[in-house]
Amino acid sequence: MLIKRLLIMLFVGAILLSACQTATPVPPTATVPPAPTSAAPVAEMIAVFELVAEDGSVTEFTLEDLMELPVTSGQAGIKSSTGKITAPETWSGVALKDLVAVLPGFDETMGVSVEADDGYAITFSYDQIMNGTFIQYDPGTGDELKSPVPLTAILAYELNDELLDANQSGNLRLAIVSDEPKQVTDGHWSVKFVTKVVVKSLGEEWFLQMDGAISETMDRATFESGASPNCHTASWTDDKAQEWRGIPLWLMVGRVDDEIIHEGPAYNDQLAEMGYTVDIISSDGYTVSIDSSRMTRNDNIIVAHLVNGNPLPEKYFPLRLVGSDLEKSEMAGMITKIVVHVEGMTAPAIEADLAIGGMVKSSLAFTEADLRSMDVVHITAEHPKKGSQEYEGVYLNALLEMAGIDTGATKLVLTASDEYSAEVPLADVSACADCLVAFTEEAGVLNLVMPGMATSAWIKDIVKIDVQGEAAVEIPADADLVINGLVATPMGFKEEDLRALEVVKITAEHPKKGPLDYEGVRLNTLLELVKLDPSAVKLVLTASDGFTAEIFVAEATACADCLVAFTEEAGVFNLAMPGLPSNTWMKDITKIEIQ
Amino acid sequence: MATIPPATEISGKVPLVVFAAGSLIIPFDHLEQAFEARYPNIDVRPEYHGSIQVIRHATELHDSIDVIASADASLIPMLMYGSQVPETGKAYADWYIRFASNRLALAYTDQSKYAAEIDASNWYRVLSQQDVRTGIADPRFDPSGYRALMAFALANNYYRQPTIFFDMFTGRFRRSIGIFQDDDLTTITVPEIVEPVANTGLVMRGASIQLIALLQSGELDYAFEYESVIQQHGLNLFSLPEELNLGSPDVDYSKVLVRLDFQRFHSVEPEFPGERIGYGITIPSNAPHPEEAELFIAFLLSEEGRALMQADHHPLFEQALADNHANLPASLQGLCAPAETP
Repeated sequence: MLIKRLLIMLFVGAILLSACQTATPVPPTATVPPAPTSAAPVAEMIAVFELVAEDGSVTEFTLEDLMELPVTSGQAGIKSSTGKITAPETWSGVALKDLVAVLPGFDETMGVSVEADDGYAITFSYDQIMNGTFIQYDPGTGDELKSPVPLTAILAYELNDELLDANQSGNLRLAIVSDEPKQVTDGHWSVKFVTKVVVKSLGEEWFLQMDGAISETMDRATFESGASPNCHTASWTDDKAQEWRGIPLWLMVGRVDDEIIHEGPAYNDQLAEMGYTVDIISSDGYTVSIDSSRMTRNDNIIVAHLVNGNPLPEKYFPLRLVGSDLEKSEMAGMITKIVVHVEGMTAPAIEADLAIGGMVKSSLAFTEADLRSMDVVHITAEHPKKGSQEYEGVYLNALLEMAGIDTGATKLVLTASDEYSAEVPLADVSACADCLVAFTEEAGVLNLVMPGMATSAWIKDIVKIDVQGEAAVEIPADADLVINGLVATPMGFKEEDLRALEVVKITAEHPKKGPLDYEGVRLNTLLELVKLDPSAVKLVLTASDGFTAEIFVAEATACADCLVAFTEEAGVFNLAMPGLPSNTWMKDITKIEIQ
Repeated sequence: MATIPPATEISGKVPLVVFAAGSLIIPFDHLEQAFEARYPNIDVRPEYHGSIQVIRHATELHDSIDVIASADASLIPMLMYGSQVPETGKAYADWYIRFASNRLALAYTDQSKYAAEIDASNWYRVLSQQDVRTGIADPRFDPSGYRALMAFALANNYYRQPTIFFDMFTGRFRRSIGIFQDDDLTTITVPEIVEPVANTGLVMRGASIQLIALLQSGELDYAFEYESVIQQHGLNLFSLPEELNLGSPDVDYSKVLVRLDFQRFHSVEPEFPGERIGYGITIPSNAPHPEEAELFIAFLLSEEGRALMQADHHPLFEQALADNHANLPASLQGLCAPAETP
């Protein structure tokens, strides 16, 4: 009960802070009859509704409890899938966005499942809950509305100021309301007999148990991070042209084969040379054993979590061992456990010969053996003093790519074993196809080969490469519009800056006002200027009053006519976003953060 | 659980509540007129929805319904055989009659982009163009939606181009629809939330019948519809190859399966195997007017009913087939043959 009261207090706080209530919060009009004084339970005091948080915690509500919460009231009607219209009426209840806002961490990766008492459920997206994104129809004609109105999904307990008829639709029903009776929405959203609202992540969680010299329980997020393009991803395409993607088994094993998990030389080659087996175990007990000699540094034996970019089908979910160096019988699915049999084995401590750190996704360290197991090349390069020389080693850019350079990095600080150091621009290194970490005659001693660069960059006995950035790009404090986040060049714009770019005039269909003329700069022009990071997913748009909205990068870049439009007021810009939800047509946009 | 009260009699007529798939609107309206002329004491009250919704009105919203007609006959055993009427404990249904088929096709107009160029060799490439607006029904609510996904999966094999499904759908949904090809089965996985990404050319509505208006107003170039519906609305019809249209009696469509990747119903996590489109009809065990319902189904299967359906481009099977034939009302047993046990 205490938790529930706390939630109710939080609701009140949340509604007070809410600046964007689309339908009108009003005091409740219907009242629950007072409970009799006898000890016998009455219907109103029985829980009618459960709110289930992502962590599984459950809060029960009676009808009275719900009616204590801030009320959202508005007009809702429905259109059946074959066109039958039920005209708008007045519904009152609790907005779903208010209900979920007080639970921690509700974001775009989650959904809200609204469940009826018989188990029927429909899941609403983040966009539907927070932005009211539903197809709307004219209640008179049934035609789709070209200028949609703001909508709010509510858990309704009143219809036309009367409590719902529990026999007709249960105590609670989903309704999608607006201020005016000018819209109806698809009937399949209007779940009757609602008894439960479940906030949940839309990605199914799973865990992988790994046992070796140490144990680790890896969750889905950690695995996905490790399998990201800038980390340790590997892929294999099967005979049906399906691409399986995941992490090479040897790198997974490297997390538990000794006590070094990730920083430093995680995979213990010497231990592997001594020989051990790795058991890959499915949830049904099926076990595949792989020798370390077969697995070591072999990127063709992969623990895959995706096929064709999607989670694995049920028969293999969550992980499957795949790759060109496996027999089909070895491609175990439903992997839940990996056991590395290094019991009683000890290997000499390993000291890294070269470390890469700083502004990288993953700090890495390599022994010479590590490097020799990679793609080793032989080149001839022109030394500034010695002339043409032969070198053997690994491309520097390949190592930097493994580490994953962070956005904003601009230079490398190269340090030798005697602590001599030099700086080189990252751009120069990126452009240097033949820059090499070269082996020498002395084991464990590596030299940098930097064709085209000054002698100072040809570091002998290189031990450390630190990736660094310049001081953050300074954005003028008086910029009218800032674009930052996952971009190569964060930028601030005054109106004169924008007017110096290509200014266009367009006519766009405003969701509420119809066709209007706009003048401004294409959003895509600005996004090209700041250079989006390849990992960017969405744009978070913020107005001067703090209102925010989000769109996917794909939506923005696909919208040729989306415009940062000038207004009559200098330094004030509006967004014109044809084809996108009305909440993205933002007035006085001041910031676009790329995430 | 209380039930919605049965429809009330007006002027001494028996109200017969018929819930049917949206693709049956036009032929069943004509059937209603002829049936009421034959039986003037019966007032047919039709209501049309996506087929999943049709059945849900009986089994989960507990509406009083006399006849149920679904565009996917398999939904009846899946959703009605295993759930019980609260008052009686009996299954909502224990038989159905498979009475007609259909073919999945593309509807378009003369104004549709590439209308002059589209043909059997390029239709999937046309639809995957970013400047072409294609409509499909939401696969969570309407069989036409998951059947459109099946057509693309079948196209992968038919045209021996494994990327046809990817080319059409990748990047067009906020949460992607999965496809996985095993040795002998292609499984399509529909996520819990299906939201098209704006401005990518793909438009989705809850039911395929809703796409007709968008096509007629020029907001769509192409829409996946049933052939009968396209012809009833006078739209241009592009026929898919028999191997893909899910309507041929001579093609094995079973190498594809659509899974809804979530618990949509209380006890069923739906899987829809690829098979020839079959419309199913039954009388719920709690129908208020079962005898009149029998008359309606018998009329549908009569020569007059057949002629009406034929005239609306939706011919019945030569021989209607009944699942659990022995459970049929006696008056209907002679009108159909037992279905083969799968």
